Amino acid sequence: MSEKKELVAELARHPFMRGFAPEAVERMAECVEGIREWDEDALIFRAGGEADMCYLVRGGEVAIEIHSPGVGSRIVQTVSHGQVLGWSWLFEPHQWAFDARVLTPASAFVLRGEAVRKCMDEHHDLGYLMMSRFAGLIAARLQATRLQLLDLYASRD
Amino acid sequence: MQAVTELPTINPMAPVPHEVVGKRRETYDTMTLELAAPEPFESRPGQFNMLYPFGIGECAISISGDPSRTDRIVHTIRDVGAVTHALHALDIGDHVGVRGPFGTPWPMEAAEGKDLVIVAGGIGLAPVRPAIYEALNHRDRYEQFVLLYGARSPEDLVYLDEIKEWRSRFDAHVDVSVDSAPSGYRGSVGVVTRLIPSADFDPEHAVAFVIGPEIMMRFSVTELRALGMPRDQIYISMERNMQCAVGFCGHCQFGNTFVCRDGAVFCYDDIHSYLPIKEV
Repeated sequence: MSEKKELVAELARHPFMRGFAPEAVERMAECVEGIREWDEDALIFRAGGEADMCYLVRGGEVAIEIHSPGVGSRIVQTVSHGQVLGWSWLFEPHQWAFDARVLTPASAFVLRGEAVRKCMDEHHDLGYLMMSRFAGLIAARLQATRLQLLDLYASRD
Repeated sequence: MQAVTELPTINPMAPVPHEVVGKRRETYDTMTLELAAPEPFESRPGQFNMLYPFGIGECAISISGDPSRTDRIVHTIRDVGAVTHALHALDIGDHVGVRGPFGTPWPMEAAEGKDLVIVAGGIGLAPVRPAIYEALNHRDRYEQFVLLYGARSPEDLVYLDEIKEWRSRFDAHVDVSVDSAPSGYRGSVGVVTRLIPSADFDPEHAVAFVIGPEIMMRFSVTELRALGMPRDQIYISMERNMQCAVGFCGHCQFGNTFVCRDGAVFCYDDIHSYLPIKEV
């Protein structure tokens, strides 16, 4: 199997791509810069940096952190196998809002954000599917954030 | 002349003094107390006792120990008010009044031959721990065993040694998540409900026990239902103000049930219509 076909086949197995037609996966594979691996404690991106890549995590665990002066860094969420890391590449101003730090050695498909956006513009069916996926993802994380804000386990007395 | 009927020797309203024989701090606000049972104490996973620190008041506390050990009664107690504060202040050798056990158990038999999924939030791990012991003591009765446990922060996680032991088993899928954590924490962060979709079980051939704050249980049930788990295979443990524990006083009324007598463990199918009603 050629390297490209192998990449398409592997990308198709990622949970985020479930339900994508083979040609849609092929188009997405065109946007893949490569598969990257990181060691523990590596910083994948930093808040304020240019959000030019989309990461589909293949393994390991990555912490999404925020730093507050005087408080320090807090982990607000962890992302692991099969999940998407970051959507800032999709929306203006394409700037990361959080840090992403590797907790356990991780690997991910790295897609060029600009290429994905162009592909979505040119192929509206794929663009709609991608937007639906990311809307679902954002809605789920919004709901999770609301639950976190409720501080459900705090003492009420 | 008619013979006088002998009164029953066990009065469910009379507390029996029990000696504190063990005390262990779980977290900054949670303690586990071990009481010596004056006679073999039979209970089923999910049941609770009424504990009475003398002169202070009574409160319902779930039994959190191994049900196969009838010589000890174990309770894990979070310090949230006057009574629980008094329970925390007890020392080894002190006595506490006990009434019980009360309430409906987790339906272990309903899960036999199926996957058993336990979703616990916060101190909710304590009332379901007897069910975990029971399942792991009789591991061959169940297919997959899944425990998903969520807490507020790493400092709020209880039973850390046991969780480590359960996680090391090859026949148990145990995932833990906290709502937030300082940088450097190596575990999973996020609400416990997000662990459900990636857990390894067959939703149509599984039974779920869900326990924790009511909102957490509602969202957990939503996730389980989204995976295709039928309502009658989901059990939840309700919490209300339980005072008499025998269905007399009515403080814990929940729809047409009393949580102390008809619960605290309910089949979700039986009570799902009450949950969205805030007046219930």
